[in-house]
Amino acid sequence: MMSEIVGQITFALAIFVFGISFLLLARTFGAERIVAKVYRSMKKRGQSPTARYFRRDIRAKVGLAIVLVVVFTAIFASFMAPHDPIRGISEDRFQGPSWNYPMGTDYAGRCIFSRIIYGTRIALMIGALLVAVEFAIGVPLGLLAGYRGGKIDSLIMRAVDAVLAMPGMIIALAFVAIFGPGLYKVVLAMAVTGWAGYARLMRGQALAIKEEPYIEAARAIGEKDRTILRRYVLPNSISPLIVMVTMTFPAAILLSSSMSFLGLGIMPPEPDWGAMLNQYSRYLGDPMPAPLWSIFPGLVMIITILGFNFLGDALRDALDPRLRE
Amino acid sequence: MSETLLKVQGLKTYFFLERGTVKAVDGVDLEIKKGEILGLVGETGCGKSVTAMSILRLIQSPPGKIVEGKIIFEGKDLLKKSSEEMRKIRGTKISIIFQDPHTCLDPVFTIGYQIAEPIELHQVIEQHLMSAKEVPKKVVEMLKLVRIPDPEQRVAEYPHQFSGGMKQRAMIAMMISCNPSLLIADEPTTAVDVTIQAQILDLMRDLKRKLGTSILLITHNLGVVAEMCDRVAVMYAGNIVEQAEIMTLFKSPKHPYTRALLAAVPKVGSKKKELETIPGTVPSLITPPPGCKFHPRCPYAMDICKKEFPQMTKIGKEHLVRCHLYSKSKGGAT
Amino acid sequence: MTATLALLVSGLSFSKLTAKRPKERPSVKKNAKIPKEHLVEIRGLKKYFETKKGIFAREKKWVHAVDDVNFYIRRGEVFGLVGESGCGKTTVGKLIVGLIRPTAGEIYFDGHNLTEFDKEEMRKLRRRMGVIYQHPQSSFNPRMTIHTILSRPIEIHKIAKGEKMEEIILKVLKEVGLEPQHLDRYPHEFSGGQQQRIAIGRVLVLNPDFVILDEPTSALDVSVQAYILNMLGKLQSKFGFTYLLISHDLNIVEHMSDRIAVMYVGKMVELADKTELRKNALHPYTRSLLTVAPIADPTRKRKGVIIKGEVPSTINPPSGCRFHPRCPYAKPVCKEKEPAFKGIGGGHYVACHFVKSRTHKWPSPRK
Repeated sequence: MMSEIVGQITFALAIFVFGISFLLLARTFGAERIVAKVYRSMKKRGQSPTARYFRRDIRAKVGLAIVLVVVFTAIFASFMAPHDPIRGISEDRFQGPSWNYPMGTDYAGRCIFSRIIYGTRIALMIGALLVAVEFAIGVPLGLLAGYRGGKIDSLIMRAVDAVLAMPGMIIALAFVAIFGPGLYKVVLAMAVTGWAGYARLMRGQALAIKEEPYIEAARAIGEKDRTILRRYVLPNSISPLIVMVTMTFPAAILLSSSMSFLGLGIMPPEPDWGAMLNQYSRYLGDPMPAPLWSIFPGLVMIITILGFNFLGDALRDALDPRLRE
Repeated sequence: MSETLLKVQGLKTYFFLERGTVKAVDGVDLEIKKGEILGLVGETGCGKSVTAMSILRLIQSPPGKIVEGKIIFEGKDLLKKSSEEMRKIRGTKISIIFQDPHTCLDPVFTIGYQIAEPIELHQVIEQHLMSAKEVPKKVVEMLKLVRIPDPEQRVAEYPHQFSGGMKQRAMIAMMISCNPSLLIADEPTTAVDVTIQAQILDLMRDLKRKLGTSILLITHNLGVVAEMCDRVAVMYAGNIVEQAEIMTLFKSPKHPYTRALLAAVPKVGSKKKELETIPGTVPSLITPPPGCKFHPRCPYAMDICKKEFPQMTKIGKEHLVRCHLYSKSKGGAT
Repeated sequence: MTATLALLVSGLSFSKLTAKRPKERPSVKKNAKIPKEHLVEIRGLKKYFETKKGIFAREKKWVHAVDDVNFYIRRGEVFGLVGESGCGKTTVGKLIVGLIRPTAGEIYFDGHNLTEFDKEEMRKLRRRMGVIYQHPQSSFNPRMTIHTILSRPIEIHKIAKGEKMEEIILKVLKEVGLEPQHLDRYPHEFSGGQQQRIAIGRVLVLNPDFVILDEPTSALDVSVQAYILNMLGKLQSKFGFTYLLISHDLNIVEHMSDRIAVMYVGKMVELADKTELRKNALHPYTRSLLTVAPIADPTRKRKGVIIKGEVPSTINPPSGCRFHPRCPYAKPVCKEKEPAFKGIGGGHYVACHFVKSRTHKWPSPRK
């Protein structure tokens, strides 16, 4: 536990020091322009219609707040959790919420609060990993299909259509049933069907952007197709991509929790929220404080998913080109 | 000879945006006589379209608002009318056609249905000028008037089956079906080919001749103005800077902006190698320059131009200029 | 993250695999039959597009965008190409630059037969060509700064690096009247006229031989138009560019061009020197265009004929002479036989059955 805390502090300090020294270094080498440019562009982005819309949207503020809290909790979990999430203290079993144990303890004496806090790590990890895999598979395929068209497009899109027709949850369950539980396997199980959404999105983007005059202008100055995809099509598709990434997190949390709840996927004593629901739901009918063990993680999960959904919705509306002046 | 049909006095239309108030129309006076074609010329952002929309009170509010002015039509101030009264005027007494016919033509209804709509609404239901049975005949009549071939077949067709020029003409048919006394044409031929443009302009001249329709022709194309208009008003940054009869304006333009504009246009057959340009850029409508809005770009700018906003001066029959170079001369229109 | 990048890169290299392999060809030789004076020569150029509708249609419908066009462009001249929408003028421009491949015919650039070039050779040749578009803002990648927009062509064709590249960029900026501080900004922060100047800058960095101006001022205000046209003229005399000026505005084409060609529904109907066309336009369509185009001069009384009818579709063009349904002088032969585009002396070409010489006089048209 101690080593973990030290590790965390070092990590945070390292980022801080690195960032500051980088800026200072840049300054000394006369790259003041770059520093000023970064600052200016951030300020300018803050004035853009997107940012202004965002600032006024309640969903954005609430969503962002929730997400930031979750992320912060995940990073600094070791500081925030008062107790060990996995090993319980048998003397402290079945305790109700108190100052020492804000959400009480379970039948093994584990602090529910600490478990939930560490649960944020798992939840975010699943989301981030899922995004990474689905992005890596779906985006290049989608771009390729959209930009090239023709047979390649048909081929890829038929695969996408087939995948989209499959029931994602059931396939994911089957996957973990066959290959066993574990965080990485869970992510893979969801990615097997999940990449299709990214592919379809990017294909649409590529198709639309391909017709833009600046793509033709790029070809007219001699740009290679690969470069066009990388520097012209992809950067201009960021908006819907950001929204999709934001929405992948709640989907990941929900799906993985469902799997854990059914006993496949992440298994207790890992402090995954879904696993906790699996573990504690049988105690819902019992006398207090037993029901609280499943209610708390359930609530936290709802709030987290809601937060991401709000943020995603707000982002989608803010990035809507029709709102530009 | 001609009596006044529409008189705009001191019109001010502002748009209240987050970044400031855009003074799109900042004190405009216009007069359109019966049976004449008045041209309203200016470059992008000068306020000509906003003026047109203000006359019909079609300004989106918020963020726009007609803050001041009078628009006298048939003796009454349009700005004081209720929205129900305005609705009865639009399409019947004052009509507008736009650059893009797609703004008026709904792709899911036939052309005949759409042209019949205003006729049915105004002439049948509201004014009881004709019975519903007569409407189809009138629709065909309108299509004939705008020179669409095979009108009896065309009534059953959909907009996408019409070519660009024909869509434009269908839009005109829709808008003049109730025989308005004033037709506002906002860049009617900018999006159309030259040969079709010629047809449409010819059609408009025909309308003026046959039906006595007055036309407020808004455009940035000086060639179209030269061909079509009886009188012309030149707009810059929300104000009219010069107004004159057509020959006068082209032969002896007085305002520096008008002169620069005329010198910047390439003309077929002219021997000039280089065109004259206007230095600088169009001013911001949120914070326009003090005094005369054109002074930063004007080769004749004097001290007073930076301080005082020039008023309109009458320098000839029907010739008005808003410039300090001429304000010492006699008279003084508003 | 590296996994993502790896997958992304492999995904995009996949696209390279699917590119067509260059076919074995002999080395490109200059065609001895093309006079040195002709920078661009077009022979029998055709471009047909397949229409997308009618999956179940038995016959494929073709859009005859460019239908057997022949002309040449001399080094250092301004060649004006006029016509209304659908006439094919923009398509001709795109064919020359190689953005689309011709259905038939040959395009020669500096003696090289472009139709034999493969994709990569064509890409390299683009170094010698520049294009200016009608809508400047949409011709820029909204996510690239002006600096990147100007540096990309230099980087692509490996003309210069580092300091030398910056030098070129700064010189070009000055040439088009912009300032170094504009380099960090994005295209949408500029006015239309400034954007078009940036587009001109993008052309200048490569110092090409040939520039296609596709409606360069149609989207600009009158005063800005004058500025841009003047600039284009000055740059031409300074750097010796050859221009292909495409426009529907006869006034502009007339003002800038040395020779003017008129296109109608995929065909070229007339070609002559500017002065010759002014005095002696012979094709009925050209004559109508000239008389009907609005001129900013109310004293000019035009005896023009306003031609009736619509601009025909390029999918089903009229038989014989494509102008016959609207021509006030049409006779039965015009419907049956297509007129040849032939020279009548003095570099004047016309495609009309009745025009046999430059002294041809048209009677007043019957209504």
